[in-house]
Amino acid sequence: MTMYLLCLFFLTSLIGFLIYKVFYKKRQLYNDRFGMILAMSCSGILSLNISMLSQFIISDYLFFIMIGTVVLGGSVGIVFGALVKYQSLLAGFLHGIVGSLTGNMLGIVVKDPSICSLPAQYFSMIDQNILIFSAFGTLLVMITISIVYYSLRV
Amino acid sequence: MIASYLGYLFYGNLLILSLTFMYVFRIRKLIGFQLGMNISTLAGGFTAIITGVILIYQFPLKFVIVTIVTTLIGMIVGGVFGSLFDYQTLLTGYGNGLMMGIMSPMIGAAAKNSYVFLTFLEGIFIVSLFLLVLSAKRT
Repeated sequence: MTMYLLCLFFLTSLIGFLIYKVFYKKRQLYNDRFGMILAMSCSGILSLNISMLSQFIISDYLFFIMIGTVVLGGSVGIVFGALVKYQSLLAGFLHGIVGSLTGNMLGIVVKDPSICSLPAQYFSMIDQNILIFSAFGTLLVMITISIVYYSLRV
Repeated sequence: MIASYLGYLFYGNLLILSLTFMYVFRIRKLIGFQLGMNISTLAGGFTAIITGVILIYQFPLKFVIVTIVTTLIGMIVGGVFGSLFDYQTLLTGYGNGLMMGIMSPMIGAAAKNSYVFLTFLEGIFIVSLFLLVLSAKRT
């Protein structure tokens, strides 16, 4: 199962890198309002999926992963926000940090259901829940990135 | 006993939301994109929160399906309210509804079937829709 999670992690990173390359090539075309919305959506969903998958992959050192993924989400937001003008950098930074905190919370709750006082039935279904949530997160990344990419033509 | 009335609360919320949508749909030409962005963010986020809490109170044994359904509902409501104005407000409402919808079943599960908390969230939902209509009227 670690192999599957690692494949999804690299797929998410590849999607983020490709969409950054596309937007870097066309950065002269759009105005600052579209740049702000681009930074918000892309950095939020990418940092959410990356932090959730890294909580699933490494099961120990919970707080160090949290600190590392929050720093990573903030830097992803800064990189996407710095494309157009520096006023969209703040929106990207905020949404990257909020997305990575949400992803950490979801990963910890799925791994240890007694935090949210979920019923004891869940302790026998942790592996199945990890599979479903990682596939759902990657599907959300694909849908969001395709919507954002489609908005270049509208 | 109160748990059997949660479904009616959900239908009532959808009814209020659709009435608000029809009101905003009639005057959508008067609203600029700055207010439109805030309207789509607020409607998608609060609908996702109240829907997630109601659904996790009603079905406490199905955490996975409730999370997926709540995320889809938040995305759809934010997108529909945003599509009144522009393509970029659609994107804003979509992203915010997604983030709130992933978060809300965990809040509901951590609140341990407390009905005071549900009443509080319902009050926040109604007050936010009232403020939405007020700000759309006085723009």
